[in-house]
Amino acid sequence: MSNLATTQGHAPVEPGSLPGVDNRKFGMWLFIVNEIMFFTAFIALFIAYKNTPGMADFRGHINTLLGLTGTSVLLFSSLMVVLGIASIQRGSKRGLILCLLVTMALGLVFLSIQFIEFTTLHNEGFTLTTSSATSAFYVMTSFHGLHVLIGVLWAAGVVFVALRNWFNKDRYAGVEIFGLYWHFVDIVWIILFMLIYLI
Amino acid sequence: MSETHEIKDMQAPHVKWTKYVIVAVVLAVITGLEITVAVGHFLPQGLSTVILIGLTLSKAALVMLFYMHLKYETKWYSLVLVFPLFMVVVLFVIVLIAAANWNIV
Repeated sequence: MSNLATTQGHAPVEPGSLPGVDNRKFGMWLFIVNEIMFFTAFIALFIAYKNTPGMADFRGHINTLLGLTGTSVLLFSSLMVVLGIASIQRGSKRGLILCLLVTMALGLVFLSIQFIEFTTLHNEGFTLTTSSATSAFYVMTSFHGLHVLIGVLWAAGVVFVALRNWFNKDRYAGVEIFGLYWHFVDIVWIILFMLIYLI
Repeated sequence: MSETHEIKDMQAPHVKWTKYVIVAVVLAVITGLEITVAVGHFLPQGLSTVILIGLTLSKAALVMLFYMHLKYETKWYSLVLVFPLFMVVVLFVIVLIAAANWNIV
């Protein structure tokens, strides 16, 4: 008989694990903690420049409608990820793949919106070196965009292995872990949207 | 004798898809409220800032609780977040004090 303990009568649990904790998901949460501190530094920098003359000039040129569109796109993509998880929990591989493909498309739409915004601001004379405020804006939003791009590539990887029958209704932790990352990236944008476009 | 069995993951919480959609609708409504408060300019600046921060944090909390399953999972995952979020608050307080008192350009 296997010497591995089981939780809820299903999964083998590594010895020494916390009760009810999947070490892979726990690892993802620890990574998210690391990412929280990473983005906190950028956000703090942006807040520090909030009342500078450079920021006042810059804020007059940002497009709230673009920001709102990006926010809506990311929120909808998060819904797609959880619907994908709900699909695979019912055993629907097709549903999972469809939801993840929509998520990837929405991620690319978000990146396109960001590209349009960057290009517009650049053409209006706001570059990375225009002021401390624009520098903070570009660095912060670019790093977020990089995370979205990584998320899109990760989603493509999840779709790839899903097509090879890696996931089923009892085995889908890989989808969940990707979902944790994607939702975190969504939360970061929820905060950036408020800081950049609303306050 | 070794035992062979089908590999199964630790079961994630099964949430009805309708609940996910309801959360999405609530998130959309909160976003609409944010835009109304920010673009409407019918509230004093300080009050609208406080309301906007509150609305944003409520959106983040909804995503974490329902989409990241913190509401349904073991509390160990939530506990991991306590200290870093405390440090985030400390850092933001320091930055706000610094921004108010120093001439940052």
